[in-house]
Amino acid sequence: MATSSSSRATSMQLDYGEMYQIKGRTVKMGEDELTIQVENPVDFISLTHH
Amino acid sequence: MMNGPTYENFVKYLWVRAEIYDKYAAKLEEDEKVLIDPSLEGKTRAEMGLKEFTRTEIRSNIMGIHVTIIEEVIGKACRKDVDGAFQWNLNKKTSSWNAIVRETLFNNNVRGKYKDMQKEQKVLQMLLQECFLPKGGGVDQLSLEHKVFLHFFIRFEKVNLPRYIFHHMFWALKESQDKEKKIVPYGRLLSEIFHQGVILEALRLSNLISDEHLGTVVGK
Repeated sequence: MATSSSSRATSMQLDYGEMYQIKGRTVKMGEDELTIQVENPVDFISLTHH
Repeated sequence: MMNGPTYENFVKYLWVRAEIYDKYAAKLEEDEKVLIDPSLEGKTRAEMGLKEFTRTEIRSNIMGIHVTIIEEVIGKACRKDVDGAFQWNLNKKTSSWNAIVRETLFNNNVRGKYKDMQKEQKVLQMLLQECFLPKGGGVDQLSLEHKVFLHFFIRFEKVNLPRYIFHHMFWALKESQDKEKKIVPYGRLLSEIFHQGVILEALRLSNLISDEHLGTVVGK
């Protein structure tokens, strides 16, 4: 994977981060194999029933 | 924050390119410098032309835009101060926390199992596992760190939530990198960080993205 150093930055990064070289992939798995966990509000009504 | 969209494709993009920058990575930087120029052996980081190591970071990018995740970024996204009680890397055999959580969570029951907990504590445990420190697996699998977190909750002690989330994210990333674990936690939080960091706006202005590219999911 090619590397590059980009000059673009976000305000989030300008506030908190420093410039660094963008590197390649760090995880062997493909993106399609990943499962995203989304933070769920607890369903208290359902909990009450159980 | 909980009900906003999740940009699944971008979360995945970030995750597979995320790099942990910690003391170990900083030492590798120094070793690399010395390898190139042996006269730098024993010099300070500043003398090597490196910035001082001050904090652990998760570094990645979204289509070339740098994203640096630190405790303060998480705190800003979930509107919490980086302040409060925090316990991590506890030794489950020797830690003095074992006796404390046994009293708080298990009514001094030596077994200390999930089924020994009271109803209210089980609800808090579910909240912890669904939102704050999601790790997959059953709710009955409690690490000592989880138990201590619950102890703080139950005793109304202020918890350093951004620090807990950062350390948990760090752990989950290591699991993906070293053990090929496929679970990516904090999809919604990471999406909020993209939003607050104006990353999405920058890409939209460049006509680089659409909802299809983002993999936007709402109300999951």
